[in-house]
Amino acid sequence: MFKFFRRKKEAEQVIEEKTEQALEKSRSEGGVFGQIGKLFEVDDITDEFWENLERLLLQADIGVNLTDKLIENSQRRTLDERTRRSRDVEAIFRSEMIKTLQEVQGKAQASVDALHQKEARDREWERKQQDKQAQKRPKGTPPPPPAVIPKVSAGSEGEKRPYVIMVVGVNGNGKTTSIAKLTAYYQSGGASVVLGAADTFRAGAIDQLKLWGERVNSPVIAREFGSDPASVAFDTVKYAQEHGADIAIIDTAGRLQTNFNLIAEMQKIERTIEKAQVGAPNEILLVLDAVTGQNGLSQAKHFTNAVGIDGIVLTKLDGTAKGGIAFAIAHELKIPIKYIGTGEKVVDFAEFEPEAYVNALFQRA
Amino acid sequence: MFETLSERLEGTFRSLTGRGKLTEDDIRKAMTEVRRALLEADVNTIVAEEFVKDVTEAALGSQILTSLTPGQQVIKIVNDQLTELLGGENEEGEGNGNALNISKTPPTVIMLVGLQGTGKTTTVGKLALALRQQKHRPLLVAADIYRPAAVEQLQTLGRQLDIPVYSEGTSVAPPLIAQHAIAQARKNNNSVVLVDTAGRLQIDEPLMEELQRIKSEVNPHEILLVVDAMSGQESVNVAMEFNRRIGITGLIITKMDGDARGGSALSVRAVTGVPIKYMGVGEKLDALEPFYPDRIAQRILGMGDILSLIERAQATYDEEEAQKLQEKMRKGKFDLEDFLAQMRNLKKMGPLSGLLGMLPGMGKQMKEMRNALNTPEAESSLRRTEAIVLSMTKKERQEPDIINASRRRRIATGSGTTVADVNELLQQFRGMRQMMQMMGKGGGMNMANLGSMLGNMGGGMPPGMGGMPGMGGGGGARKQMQAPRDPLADFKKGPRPAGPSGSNGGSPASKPAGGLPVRTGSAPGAGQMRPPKKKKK
Repeated sequence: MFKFFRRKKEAEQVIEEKTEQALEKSRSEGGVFGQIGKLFEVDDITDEFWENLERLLLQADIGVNLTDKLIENSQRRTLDERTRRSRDVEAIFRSEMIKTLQEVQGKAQASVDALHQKEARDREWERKQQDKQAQKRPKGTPPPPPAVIPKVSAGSEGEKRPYVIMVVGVNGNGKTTSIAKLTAYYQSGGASVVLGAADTFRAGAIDQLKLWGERVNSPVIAREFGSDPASVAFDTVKYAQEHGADIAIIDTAGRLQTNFNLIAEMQKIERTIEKAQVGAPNEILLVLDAVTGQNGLSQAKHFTNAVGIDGIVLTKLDGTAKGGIAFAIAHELKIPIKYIGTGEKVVDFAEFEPEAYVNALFQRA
Repeated sequence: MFETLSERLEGTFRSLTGRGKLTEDDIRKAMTEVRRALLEADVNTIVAEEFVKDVTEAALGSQILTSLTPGQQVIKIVNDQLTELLGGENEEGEGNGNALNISKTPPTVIMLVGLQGTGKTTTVGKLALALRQQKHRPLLVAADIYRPAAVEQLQTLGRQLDIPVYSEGTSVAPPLIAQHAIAQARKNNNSVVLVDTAGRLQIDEPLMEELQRIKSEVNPHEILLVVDAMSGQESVNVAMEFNRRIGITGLIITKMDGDARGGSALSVRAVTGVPIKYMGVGEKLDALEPFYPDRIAQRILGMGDILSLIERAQATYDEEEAQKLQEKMRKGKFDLEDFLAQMRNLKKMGPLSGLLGMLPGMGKQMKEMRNALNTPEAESSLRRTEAIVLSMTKKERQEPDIINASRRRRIATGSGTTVADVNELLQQFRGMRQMMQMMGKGGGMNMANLGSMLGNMGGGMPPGMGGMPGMGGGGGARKQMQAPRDPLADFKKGPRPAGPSGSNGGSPASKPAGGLPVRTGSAPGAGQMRPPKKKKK
């Protein structure tokens, strides 16, 4: 039990480090949040201060509505607490931001926590982890392994059932790369992963996933270019069942949320997966590019309506954009951010931690 | 998702009844809304602020035209300024500064750069196709050696288009690949070389240096920055940095077929000063269009894009066929065969929801209609209508009046529908024919009756049937359609179906609005749009 908590703490540290590294660029002088940090270095809080803060939040793609709300709440609390000291205001503001994310994350967290406790009793798994701990943390440290490998209870005749993850999103936001990272992440926890190349539309997409599959040493189920994506997904789940894989991850083609036919195709993939295994897909992840602006809300909304999104993978955080839109999505649609992508390598990946994220944003260079 | 600017401004000015000059106070109130609209469209905050300042100045003291409400007046000014900022109004036909810079001594070298995932490789394919249509002989160069399978992606595109691709795998440095490609282009007489570079962050030192090296190696005539229409505030920093490091000569905005408002296009254009040359509007390789500043201005303001819709309609319609059709319509000889042809054309134009997305935000009703059509039910209702018409004999299609009760029964059985369905269709058809006759006499159509026809669609009529035929009105139609380009046409108050052809049900013939047999799944009640319940299976 004690070991478990220590391990958990260390994992938290790695996540924090990763988040910090990823956000380094936005904190450095030019970056939006670096400027926010600087903003708080004044002595007194004036109207001008709030205006500047508003501008910076908008530049972070947080969106007009949430920006208004964050500022209003902070202003009210500033008044309530009768403070004009910038340090106090900064603390208030930070806590408002964390609260926004946590409200949503909290719900998802509750179920994760339940699993955590169950997992704490799993001795064998723990031993495996300890081995992994031995070789630790040079630069480019892989993300901490998942606390839990999700499991799906076996079928009535005892056949194995994989935990099926379907990855969706608009074009060009990093779905395939995120899948490679997710695979490595689950593998580091000892899970076997099978990949399904159900993006049969984009030229080169199948090759791309196959190459990643080779790199992370994971079988890739694919058919030829232009074939029916739903059947690839079906095959993948079946293959995973037959080979007793723990997790099956289905890559899908990028599609704009407004394209009716493609959204229908995605729903068909989902239905087909369910035919291959009752209750699957167990998790549907929406990949979102951090550079996305207010359209991200529309993406999240449409995809949620179509297939129901369980969480967001926020990618390309190593750029200068910070994915403020994810705040807006968390706020308006109550969809939690689950993972962040922080670079082009497989290890540039971590679970999302609201507190680490917000604090990293505010840390001064 | 967002309230359109026009709706907001109308709200702001509702209390304002006075005519004459706009006061400073009015303008300030309006500008708060304008700024908000711009920000929600992802226009960069600084660009938005500058813009608002300029508009305020322009608006101050401007005379209100008698025909406009103050809100409309402000929108007109905003729209004009926005168009200006995006590169000025596009002249009919040729895009002014938007044409590619083609070198007199081939090969012309064009380099595409940008962040990861903006659509560079796809755009290379689209550009190559467009250039070949202009009798160029393009060569594609795979200089993205980093992203797994990027080379294969370009090769696949090359195969699809039957356009040569130069590649040296992933172990040769991109500047060298580019250099060798030019040599090969010279040898093979390729007139244009399109260099696909790897996506990169603007802050990635080594990769930005690599771009500089490619540039100095091949001396490109165009360096085009590919910008994702969905990108947010950050696009400005990205563009400025690319411009500073390698100097860009033009922009291509991709993924404009989504519902992104594309404010980033405006921002990037504003900070770099280089023209937007093309925009990507779909996944197919021919989905590349010239950039029209005026249209995008309207889109950013949430006013839709009427002209693109019309062009898409025109592209689908054979001009000659369209003229014949107009003739028929005028004479009231429009028959079910034409009806079927129209319906098929409509289908060719793409999903209904996409089409409607191009229409301006016509207020609530429009939105509800969009929702109503964005459903499997709407699409399947189209299919059912098609089935009914196909179950008729040729004679019945040409002379629908001969369809008696026994024929109806046969048609219903043949198409797997009920007699009530057949009745409904015939009734709608008659209403439509009557309306068309009126329109034909009126000489073309204007926004108002397009609106009213669209308004009909919810009334159980197969969606879109009414609106489309008039659009293909050949050469003349284009000019007539210019009218809606005036933003003000979209802001006339009141419910949309206010056209001369009646405001409800389109024509007296279909007046039993509530009494019509209502098909399950389609919106009940004529003229009343209600999104059908989403069926969850």
